[in-house]
Amino acid sequence: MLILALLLVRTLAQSHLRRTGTNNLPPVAELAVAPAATSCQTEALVPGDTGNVTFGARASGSAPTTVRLSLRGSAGTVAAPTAMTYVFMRLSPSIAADRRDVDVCFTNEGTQPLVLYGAAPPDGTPVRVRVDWYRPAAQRNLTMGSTVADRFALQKAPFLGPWTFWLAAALVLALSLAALVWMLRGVEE
Amino acid sequence: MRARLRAVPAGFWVCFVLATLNACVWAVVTPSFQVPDEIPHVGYVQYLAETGRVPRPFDTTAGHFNPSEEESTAVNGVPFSYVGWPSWDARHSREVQRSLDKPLQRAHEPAAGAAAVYPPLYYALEAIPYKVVGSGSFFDRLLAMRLFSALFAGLTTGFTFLFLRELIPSQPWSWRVGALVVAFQPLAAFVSGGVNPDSLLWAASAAMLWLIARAFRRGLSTRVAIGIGASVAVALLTKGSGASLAPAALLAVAILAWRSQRARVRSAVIAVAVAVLPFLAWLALSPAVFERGAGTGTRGLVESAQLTLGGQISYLWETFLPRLPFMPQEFTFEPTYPLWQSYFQGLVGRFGYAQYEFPMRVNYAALVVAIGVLALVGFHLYRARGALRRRLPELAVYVTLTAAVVVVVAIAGYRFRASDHLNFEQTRYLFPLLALYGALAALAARAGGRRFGPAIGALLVVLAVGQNIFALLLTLQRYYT
Repeated sequence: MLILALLLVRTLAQSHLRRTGTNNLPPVAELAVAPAATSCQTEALVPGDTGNVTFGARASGSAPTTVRLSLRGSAGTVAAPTAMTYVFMRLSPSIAADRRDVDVCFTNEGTQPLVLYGAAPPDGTPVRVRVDWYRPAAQRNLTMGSTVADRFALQKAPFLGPWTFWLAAALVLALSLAALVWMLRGVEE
Repeated sequence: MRARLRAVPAGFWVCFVLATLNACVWAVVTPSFQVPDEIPHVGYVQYLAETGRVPRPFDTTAGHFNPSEEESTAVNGVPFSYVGWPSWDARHSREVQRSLDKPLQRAHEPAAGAAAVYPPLYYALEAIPYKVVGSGSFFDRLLAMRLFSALFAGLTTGFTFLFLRELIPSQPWSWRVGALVVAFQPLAAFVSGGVNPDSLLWAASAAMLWLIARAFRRGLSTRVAIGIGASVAVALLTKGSGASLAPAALLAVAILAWRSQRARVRSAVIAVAVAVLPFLAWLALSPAVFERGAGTGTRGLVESAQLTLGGQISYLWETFLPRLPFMPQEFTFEPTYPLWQSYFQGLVGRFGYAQYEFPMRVNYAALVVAIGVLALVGFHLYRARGALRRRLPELAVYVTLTAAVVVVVAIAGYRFRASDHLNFEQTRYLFPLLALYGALAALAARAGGRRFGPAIGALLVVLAVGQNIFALLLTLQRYYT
């Protein structure tokens, strides 16, 4: 029991860079961006508290290239590697509050053609790039409670709210303790 | 009725409540439609509840969804794909809820998708909460169906408790160990907390095992015979793979009737009749009333030149054992060794559409625990070999059930792999054996005797509870962080 409690504490103390959102597109199609060219797409939501961004990119030539991501006042630049990978980029400045219908632009600042990864919309419009947004810094699991609670009730029965998460957490702990007590009482009997 | 309910041991109710509530937690934690195949299962219930008719199969290809307008609005509004991540946009969530408030088409026969070939019992039961919350939003009805399904987790655990009570009558604490290990099995709770007929099948199987164990100890009374037949009938009317319960039930009633006098033969005949007649009635009604085929399996018995008896035997062998040199390689893509990669790792914890799981080091730690448990069970059975010898016929029934479940899954898996080139094996398909899983835990604890047994039992319960808690944390991490 003590080991279980220690493992639980250790797990809750773990720290990771947390995702704030994504456009959730499968990275299955390619979008070529010529040197010095810019490709933009409108994102319905760039979540607040975002300080980092990832997207799939590679240089189509042998040398690395440089890609700049910009969105109204925030930007990041990175040298894209030549193999397909998720480019990790810090946004400066960070995005404090939710922004909606934002143009996210990718500029190829290198001399090699750039390939971005995303999905082709069924209406034949250009490939949309898969983008994942992350918080500015790593965060412990333990401090994620209120964030998880807020997200917990989305796309569920309307009467559910953030309270549901806390109730579920309390219920699991109560059930676990009740099970152990009941088992041990069985031994005494 | 009240007197009968009062006669049910308190342990059954404790197990029922604990397992039901745990599955309810999973029902609330798991985002909408993230339980395997929940979209077509919900589509089946919706069509049945809205029209009173059982849907006919249209496109039964796995992974092909054709939901009703209302379900489609909900599915498209949930910001998850099989492998994707959510956007957690509260405004989007409100927009989806508003869209669902509009009058949208609900009755859409092809919505049942691949589930349409299943018999209707589970879906008819799920139509009750659907109708009770009929005036609520789609997500209200989905939650009501999930919570109702959680009751089957409670029944499975309660029947496991009763089964262990008959199987190992001395040392009652060991019944609690076995039942609690089942109550907190996270994959079972995850699936039971979704809309999926597997949960009813597991409850039927646990009930059958309890009644068989009871009959072996106290004789095959008419009431128990009816119970055995009814549990098989429920399984047959729930899912095609419910047929895997029939050989064990048949063997049990045959042994019990053979052992005993004529009255028991009558009970055996009653058991078979109760099991078979409702299913035969369904087979007749399905084409006559609902204008649909009589098949009950997901794919039916697909025949192809690729399928051979030798290939099937190799497939079954290679599922559990290393391939022998003369055998063709049946598992050419992941999983290449299903016992470890699919079944064991799935038992430890693999959730959603099998897309998130514990780190590999947890699987290795669990393997050590599993080997320890099996060694303890082996030690206990060796020590109790005299008693075991006297109960060999009963043991043969449990082995028959295990073999039948494994063979039925292998038959379906062999055909699915050949036709769809996708993996079929999932741990949940073996969960009609959940009560036997609980028995392994109980027997392992008993191996410690009076001195160490309770400590081993407590350790196993702590491990099960911990597995459940960490599986929930894993799910929170997957969907909400």
